[in-house]
Amino acid sequence: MLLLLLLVGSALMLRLSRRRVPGTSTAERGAQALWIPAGNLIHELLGLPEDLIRNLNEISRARQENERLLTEVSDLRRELSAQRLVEADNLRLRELLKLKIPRQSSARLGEVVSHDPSTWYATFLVNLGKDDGIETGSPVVTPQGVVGRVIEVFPGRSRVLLEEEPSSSVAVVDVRSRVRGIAVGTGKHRLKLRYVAAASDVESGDLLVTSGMGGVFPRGLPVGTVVKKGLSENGLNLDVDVAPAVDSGSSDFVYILQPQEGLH
Amino acid sequence: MRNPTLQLWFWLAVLVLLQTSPGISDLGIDLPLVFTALVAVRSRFLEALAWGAAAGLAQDLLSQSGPGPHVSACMAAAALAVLSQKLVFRERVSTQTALVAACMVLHQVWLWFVLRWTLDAPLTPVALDLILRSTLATSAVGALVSFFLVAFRRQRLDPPTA
Repeated sequence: MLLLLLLVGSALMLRLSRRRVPGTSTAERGAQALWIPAGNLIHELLGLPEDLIRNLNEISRARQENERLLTEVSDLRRELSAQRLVEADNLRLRELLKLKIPRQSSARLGEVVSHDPSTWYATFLVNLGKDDGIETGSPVVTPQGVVGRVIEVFPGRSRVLLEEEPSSSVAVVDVRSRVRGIAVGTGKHRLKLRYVAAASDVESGDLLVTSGMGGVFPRGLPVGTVVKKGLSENGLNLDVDVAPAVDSGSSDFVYILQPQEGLH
Repeated sequence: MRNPTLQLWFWLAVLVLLQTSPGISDLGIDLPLVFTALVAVRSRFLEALAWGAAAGLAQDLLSQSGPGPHVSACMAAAALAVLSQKLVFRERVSTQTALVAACMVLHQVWLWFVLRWTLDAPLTPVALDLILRSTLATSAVGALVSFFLVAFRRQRLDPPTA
C-alpha cells in the first residue's frame, strides 16, 4: 500500500513538474519579460557608484601619469638640446684639432664670447686675457686660416681685430706664383691685395698665405683666395679682390698664438 | 615691472646684449639706434637725449671705439627724433620706419665723420656701401619693431580698433 502511494505520488509530481517548465505559461512569460529588464536596471543602478569610483580613480591615475610623462618629455627635450649643443661643440673642436701645432707651442684655445656692437668695427672678444698669458699683437687663427690679431688685452678677455677690418693688414704671398703683397681689410667680408705691380702673375682662384714678413703672423697660414683682378686707377698696380679664408663671423673657437710663433 | 623707465632700461639692456651676438652688427643692424629713435619720438627733449646717450655709451663701452663716437651719434639721432615729433604720426608703422631710416642715416654719417677723423673708418666707396647696407637693415628691423609696437599700443590704448 505504501509502495503504491509512493508510486502514485511520484507520478503526480513528475507530471506537475513537467507542466511547470519555465516560460511555458503566458503569465510566466509576462512576468519574466517585466522582471528581466527591471532586474538588469537594478543591477546597473547598484553598480553605478562602484563604476563611478573606479572611473574617478582611473582619471586621477591618468592625470598623475600624464603629469609624470609631461615632466619626463620636458626633461628629455632639455637633455636633447644640451646633447645637440655638445655635439655641435664636439664637431667644431674636432675641426680645430686638425690644425697642426708644435708640441712645445703655447697656442691657447679660446671661445668667442661677444662681437663688436658697432657696425663700423670688425672685432670680437675672446675669453682669454692677461691672466692666460695673452699679449697684444698675438695672431689669432683657426684651421681654415687667419682670423686676425689681438689688439687689446684685459683680465680674462682679449679683443681681436679681424683681418677684414680696414685698419688691418697682413703680408701675404701667392702660393702659385710667389708674388708678394699686402692684404688689407675693406670692412665688408672682402680683402684687397695691395702693392702688387700690374705685370705680376696673379690669377683668380690663387691661394694667398701669410709670408711671415710682417712680424706678426707666422709663414704659411691661409689668408684668402683671389676672386677678381683688374688694374688700379693709376694703371701701375693690380686691383685684386680677395675672399677671406675664414668666415670670422661664424668662428666660435679660435687659437691665439704667441707672436711670431711658427706652425709646421 | 610696472615702472615704464625700468622697462625701458630692461629693453635697452636686452637690445645691447643682442647687438653683441654674432651676425647682428655684421648685417648692419643697429638695435640700440632703433631703441633710441622709437623712445625719443615719444619723449621730451632732455629725456630723449639722455636715452640716446645711454644707448650710445653702452655701445661705446662694448666696442673698440672707446667712449665718445656712439654717444654723440645716438644723441644726434635722438634730437632728430624729438624734433620730428610734430611731423611723425607715432601710431603708424610707415612713418616710424621712415623716422628710424632718417635717424640711421644721420647716425651713420655722423659716425663716419668722427671715425674718419680718428682714421678708424674706411674710405668713401666702402663707407657708403656700409651706410646704405646698415640703413636698409636697421630700417627693416625698425619696421618690424614698429609693427608690434603700434599693434601693442593700439591694443592697450584703443582696444575697439585693435
